[in-house]
Amino acid sequence: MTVETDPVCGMKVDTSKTKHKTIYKGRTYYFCSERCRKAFEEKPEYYLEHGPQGMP
Amino acid sequence: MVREKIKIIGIDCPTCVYAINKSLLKVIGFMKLEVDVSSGVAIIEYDNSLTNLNKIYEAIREAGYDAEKEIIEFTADFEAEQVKSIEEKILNARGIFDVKASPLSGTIRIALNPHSSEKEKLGEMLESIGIRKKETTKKEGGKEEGKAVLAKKLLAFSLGICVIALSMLGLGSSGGIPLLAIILLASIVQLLSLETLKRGLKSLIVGTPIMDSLIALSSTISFVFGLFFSILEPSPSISPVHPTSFFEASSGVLGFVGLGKYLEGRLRYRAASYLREIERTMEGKARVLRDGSLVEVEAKELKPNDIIEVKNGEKIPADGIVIEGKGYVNESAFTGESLPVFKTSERRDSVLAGTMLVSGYMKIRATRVGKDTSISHIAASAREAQLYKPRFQMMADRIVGRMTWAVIIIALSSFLAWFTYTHNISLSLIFTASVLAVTCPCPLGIAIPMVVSLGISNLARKGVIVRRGDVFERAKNATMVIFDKTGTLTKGKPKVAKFISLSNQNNIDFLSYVCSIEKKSEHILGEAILEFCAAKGIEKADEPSDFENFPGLGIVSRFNEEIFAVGSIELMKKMGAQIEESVYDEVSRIGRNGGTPILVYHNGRVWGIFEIHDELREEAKEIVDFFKKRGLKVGIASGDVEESVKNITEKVGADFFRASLRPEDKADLIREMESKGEKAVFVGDGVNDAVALGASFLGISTSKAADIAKEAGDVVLASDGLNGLKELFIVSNKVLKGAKENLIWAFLYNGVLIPVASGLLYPFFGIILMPHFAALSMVLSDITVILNSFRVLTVG
Repeated sequence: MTVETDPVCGMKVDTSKTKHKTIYKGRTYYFCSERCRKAFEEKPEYYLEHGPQGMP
Repeated sequence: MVREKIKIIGIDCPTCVYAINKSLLKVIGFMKLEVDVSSGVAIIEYDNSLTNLNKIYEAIREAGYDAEKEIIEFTADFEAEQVKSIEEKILNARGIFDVKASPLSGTIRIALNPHSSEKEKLGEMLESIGIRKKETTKKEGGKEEGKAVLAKKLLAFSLGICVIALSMLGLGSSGGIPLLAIILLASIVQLLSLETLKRGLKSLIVGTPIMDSLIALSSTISFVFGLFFSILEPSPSISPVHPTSFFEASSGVLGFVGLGKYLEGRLRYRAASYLREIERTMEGKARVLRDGSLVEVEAKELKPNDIIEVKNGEKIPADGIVIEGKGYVNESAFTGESLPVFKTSERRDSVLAGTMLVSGYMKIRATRVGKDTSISHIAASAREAQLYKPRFQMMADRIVGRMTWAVIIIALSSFLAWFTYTHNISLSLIFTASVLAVTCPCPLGIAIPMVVSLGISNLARKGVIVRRGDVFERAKNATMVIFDKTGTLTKGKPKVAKFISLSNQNNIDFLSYVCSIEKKSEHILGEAILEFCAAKGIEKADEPSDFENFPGLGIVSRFNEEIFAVGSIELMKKMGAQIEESVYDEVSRIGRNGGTPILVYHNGRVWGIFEIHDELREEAKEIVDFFKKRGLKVGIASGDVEESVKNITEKVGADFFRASLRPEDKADLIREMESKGEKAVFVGDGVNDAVALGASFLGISTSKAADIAKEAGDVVLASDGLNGLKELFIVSNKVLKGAKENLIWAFLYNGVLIPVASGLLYPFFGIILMPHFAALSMVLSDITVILNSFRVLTVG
């Protein structure tokens, strides 16, 4: 099991279980929910720069 | 206030809880939700005087989640008139998520909360509302019982006719032996119909009167007063009604109704015959290899991985793969297509249980047996569909539940009015008995589920599996059809036309990585690339160390530290690849030619492009025309590049298209259309388009029969091709037409005959509708309506 941090809300996500993921600049990001994924896809640079901001 | 512990499925973060809570707040009476995100266990508090668990459950589903539930299905004795009240009573009990009762099959299906302590008390609760589970009778027993019941009903009918004949001939009018004979015969008819009488009166006592209650009241009133008047007034009276007329009435009502019910039962049986046909396909013996020799076992005893021998003319007893031999298989049980399909071990073709080996010989390795086979899933889907009610059925259920009460009130009012007006008790009683005997809630309660059931069976025979009973209504109300492109409008057997290399490196080495990646993909475009590799003799590289699938975009994979990606140009952009103008030109050219470009990424740039072509289905244009002629807008939603989707849109004559969509974008498109007031049908692949299928007004999945167990959609096209769509919409129209005709007939019949039976025409024309003729006309109307259901669904 690999655990990664949701870049939007900061939750720990099991990469093998979540279906919410996206790819940005060649890197895969995992999310806890569809809402977080959509929020990230709208402003990826913002979240990568400022870090997790909590539930959108 | 009620506190209920349930387990919610699908919760993986606090956002989910927020969404569920938001949906629950719309339920009046909902008070509090507490959820443990890690386990999904929730405590819900609600005011049970304002709401019930069913409404809470619906709100959870509305939010896109589900609750862990246990399904209990059983058969019970109940009539169409009781459906509404049964469902309401069970739903108001604690721990019940959902209840569906089908009067056609006598099935009640309860979805209950396995975490509720009330589950243990289910039996007691059912007993308390008068539901008794029926023991499953053995087939042989059922047949014998059928014959005994028929004999009883035929005898009651014959004796009833004798009573009517004797009475009409004037025998018994002067008392004596002929009158005694009439009384004796009428008593025997009462005894032969004891079950109907008991059932009717019992339902009346528990407060849910059914049609039998009306019949029991009508015949008992007639019989008791017949006896009463025979003793008090054996000679002809000045009243137009003679005492023997009461025996005529009681025996006639029971005789005609008994026969009518038997005929109705036969027709109901016929309507459900397809499901039994399916069940029969699972019976019989199979020859299976055990310890090196062939032994004969019951088909239900087969296990996955068993090697089964099938000779020509035999039914295939399990889903499996042909591992030896070849032959022609008739798959009409799934596809409605009687032309046999060639299956061979060379291609490791798959075969399905319930199909027949017309010629040849084969050994198959069983992959799915018994209840896991596709045909069992079809039967389960069809049975399930009958429990989902169309809107008009729910309306009919409400009416039927109240109709019997209304009739009892009309009958009583009619008695009081006539007695006040004429002071003639026998005449007043005859009108009362007639009102009770003439009313028939059957067309409302039975004929509509029967039309729906026949529609489902008809379509199943043609390879169209309807999974919800309200599909017909939805098909009729749809305003738009959106097709997925690949595998839906196209044949789904794409081939690589060429590989365009954009590097100077050795293509063979490079492609070996691509082929290894695609080996792990389940996408049909991946299969095309694999075929291309096989044809070119490209050896696959080692297993990739990492593999991520992005539906609608492609695959990203890693070989040690080398990253490869195979997919759309969108994926290339997300990989941050350097995309040259020549790549865009190539992508555009392939799209204009109706092809699909699949690009390969490595080391920050696009290294090559596969040009993949899939043929359009022959019937695609005709299907699009069919919908357009019916006034529906037709669109195409695809993950493919714009030029390619545009090319297909022009070829089939669709109204609009959307390209470069991911699965979730297709669902968003559906929601966007629905926000504009459209009711969108989505036709797509069951696995890749599950989200869009779920979001649409009517989801139609084009998965093959073998995938039925796992895919989504309200309807599944089990046969290859789109012609099932036409069938679905044509049958939907017929079902709705039949249901409408039956409703009109039921209202018209009751609307005209109840006033006649209550004596409205007597003061003007001297017309009295005697109770037995009232019963006869009721029976005839019932049978007519049921036959109409068959006519609508079998003619034209």
